[in-house]
Amino acid sequence: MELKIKRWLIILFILTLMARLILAFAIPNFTYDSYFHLRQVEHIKEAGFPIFEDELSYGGRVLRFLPFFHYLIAFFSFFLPLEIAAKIIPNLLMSSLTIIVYLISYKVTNNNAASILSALVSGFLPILYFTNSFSVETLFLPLVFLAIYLFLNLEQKKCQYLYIAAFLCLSLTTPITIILLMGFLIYLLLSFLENKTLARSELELMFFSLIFFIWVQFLFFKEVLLAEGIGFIWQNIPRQIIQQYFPSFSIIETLILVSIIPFLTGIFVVYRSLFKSKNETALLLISLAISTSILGWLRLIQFKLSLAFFGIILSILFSLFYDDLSSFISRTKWAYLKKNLISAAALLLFISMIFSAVNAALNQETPSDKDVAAFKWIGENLPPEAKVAALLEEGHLVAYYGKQKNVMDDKFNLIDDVEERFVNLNSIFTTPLHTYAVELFDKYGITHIVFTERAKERLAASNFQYITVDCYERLYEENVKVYKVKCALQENV
Amino acid sequence: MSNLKKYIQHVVKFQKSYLIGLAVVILLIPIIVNLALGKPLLMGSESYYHLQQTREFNIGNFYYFPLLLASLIIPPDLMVFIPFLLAISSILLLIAVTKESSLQGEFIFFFLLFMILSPEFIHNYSVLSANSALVFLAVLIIYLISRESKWVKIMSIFPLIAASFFNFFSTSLIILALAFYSYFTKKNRLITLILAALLFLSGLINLLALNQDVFPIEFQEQPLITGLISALGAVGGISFFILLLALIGLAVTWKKKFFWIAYVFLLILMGGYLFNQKLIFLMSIVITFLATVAFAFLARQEWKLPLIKNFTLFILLLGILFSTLSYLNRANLSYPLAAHEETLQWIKENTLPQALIFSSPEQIHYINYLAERRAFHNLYKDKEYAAGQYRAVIGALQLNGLISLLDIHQISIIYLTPDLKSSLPADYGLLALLNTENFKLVHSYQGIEVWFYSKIVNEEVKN
Repeated sequence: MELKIKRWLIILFILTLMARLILAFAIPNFTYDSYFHLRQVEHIKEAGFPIFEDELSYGGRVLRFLPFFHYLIAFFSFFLPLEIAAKIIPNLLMSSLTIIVYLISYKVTNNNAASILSALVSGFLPILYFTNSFSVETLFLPLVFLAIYLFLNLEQKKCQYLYIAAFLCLSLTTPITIILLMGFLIYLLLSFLENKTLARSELELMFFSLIFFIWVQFLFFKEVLLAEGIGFIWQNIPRQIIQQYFPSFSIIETLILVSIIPFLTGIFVVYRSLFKSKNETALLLISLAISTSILGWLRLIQFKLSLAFFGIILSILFSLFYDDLSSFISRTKWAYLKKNLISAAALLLFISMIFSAVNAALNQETPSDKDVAAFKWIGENLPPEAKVAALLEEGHLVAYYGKQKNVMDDKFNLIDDVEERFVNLNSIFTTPLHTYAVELFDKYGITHIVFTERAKERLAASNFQYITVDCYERLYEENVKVYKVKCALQENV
Repeated sequence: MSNLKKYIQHVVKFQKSYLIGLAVVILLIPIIVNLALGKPLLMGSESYYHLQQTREFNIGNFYYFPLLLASLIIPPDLMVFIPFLLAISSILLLIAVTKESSLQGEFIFFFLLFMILSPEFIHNYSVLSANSALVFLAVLIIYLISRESKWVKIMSIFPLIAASFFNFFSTSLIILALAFYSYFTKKNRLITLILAALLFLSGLINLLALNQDVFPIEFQEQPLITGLISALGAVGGISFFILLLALIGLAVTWKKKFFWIAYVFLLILMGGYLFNQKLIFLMSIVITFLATVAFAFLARQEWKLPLIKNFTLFILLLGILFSTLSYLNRANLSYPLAAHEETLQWIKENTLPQALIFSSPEQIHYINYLAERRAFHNLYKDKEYAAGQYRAVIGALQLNGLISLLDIHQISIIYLTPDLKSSLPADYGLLALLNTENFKLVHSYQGIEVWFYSKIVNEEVKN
């Protein structure tokens, strides 16, 4: 790599990292699901193991997940306070995508300018601006593209070993690694259709990846598979909110989240690669784009993750477009424009993406400081046997800051009555009937209820409708309301 | 690698001892688990169905005579060793038969190894299953036919006729196997064809005169995919890794001359499986065969990345073993539990012999054999009707509706297992209606409940 290019790449990486960190620290808290991972990391740091038998979630349940991400962050948390590490490391990982995308793009095009532009696109893709999300995806995305880069360089022995290491980490990070395997399968099919013979080492590594991945998933998710059968794919998500996890495809949202230029150029490149030029490396990338589209369309992976993966592929494909465009321009009478083309393209891309990226970051769903303070207060003041009813998304906050049992959170696997519980939890917040609410408190052993600012916003109400002085004691005198339940249904003898 | 080859050569050389040893260990595990938990040693609904048939022995089910004889000599708990012995005998016969074939020693070893490790094999040879007897007879027929002596060949007529009493589908498969056998081995062609014709005739007579079923009797109903893959909670099922290898096996053997027989069997069995899940055991044999082909192919092939080859084959073996261990781990959950036996024994001793028991369909054969009572589902030959009435009872919302259904079918006892209870709503429907004065909880043991329904109280209510 030329020194000049190296310098540009480092500048781009630092720029992306700075932008992400500024946004991450400007927004005070983490996204709601992050608190689950924070709790796991904290536990690993203390006990050496993740919480597979969770006494707080759902009032006590068995949890199954892949723990590599949590171990990785637990390692860094020995050097940095956990909440700082949880903001810095994921953003550092996501920023590293610029370098990985550059490397893949360079492999595809052999064009430095085009590859730098692709790195720029990946650095500011709005869909990737979940800067306050402390989630497995922040490791998965860079790692999966690193594995793809290594796969494209299998002719080097060093890359073979590194690919195996990367894939082992991926298999222990998230089951969504299936995107890569599905991509390989489509790559095989497309290669077969195009009469292209694949390298033996490629086939061997694909097969090894498949077998290893399945084995790891069986080891970790044995109970989930046995309990939920083929339904494990949909993670036991209650029907009422499945649309929230797997929303229908929206072209407008897609254009905003992956930005219009990479989207349109990406579609153009896919068309050209499939039907006109026969770029072998592009074929693998296109297979991965098809794989993520199919999995997203079949609602097998969450829409936002599918779009994030798709967006990064598009950013790589942009390099092909730019490469074609610059060689086209050099053949026209406007060839003199070529030297300014990269600056113009960079500016255009930056302007078209930065606002959406900042907007996406600012629109992340995070709890307010007051809500967090209330949950911290719960942790310090409620007795250990308490069970707290909060909104579904606040379940992890109850467990992390509140250190109390929750009624429900968004880890649905292995929960038998998940739909009934979801309906009942909503009823606790919406019913006007005191007796019905008390019946539900009895049913789930709820001792305390919380009405946060988030609940106010979500339900357009200021409090529970059934609160009476006799049955409920208000414990927390701030914007957030925390009540102790004092009544129970009398058994008829 | 050379060390590994040496080990493989060693186990192949002594495959009989190793495979039998492995089968003994694997099949003993469920027995030991049951013994430790105080459960009846004989597991599975099917076992109790066959034992009940020996109790109801008559001219219509005369083919149960060997089992009747065994049940007179062997105590019920030790009957579990019948499938155990069938497994050992079938493996020995298979080794003897395949030794004379053109198949390589390594291939036979891995095929039998994968078979023994398969959850479907363990399931079928841990219960008194028709499948285990059928496979034993089929292998015995081929073994006898392949002997030199003409008299021994003729002896095969006995297992042949016995094999025709299972169901018409299985009979047809054996005929097909014999046809293939005669096609490939030239020396026994005439005798094999005669035997196949005899078998066909016997099967036809059974079908027409004895009203024999076309398909085997099913004892569990599961969704097709769940029932196929052991890891998804199938009663037996096939290891996912074996299925994956079988797919590779299909790709490897595609257009290879000899393998079209495997395709024919696979297609027929897959078609049959859509109608009858009991066929999964026979299907698993063909799938395991194709998986072994793939495994042998992967092992023989020169890989560009030898380290990856070893690692992949190792993970494949671990994956197959994982399914076995995962299945054996579930052995303690297999029915009947000690609590079932206790409760059904209580029913036997404390209720009238003509009492009719309402429970979930999975409990029918345990009720028949262990409690010596009729179950609600025994009343009707029309299974659709019985299932409809069963749904009506468990779905009843009004007391009057429930009472009239119980009266119509003359049900006097409701036998509630934890499984049935967990599938019913707690606050309304059957469970809530049981807490009325028409019903009395007369026995409860480890979550299993026996409720008496009293018609007199019902009439009082009506009055």
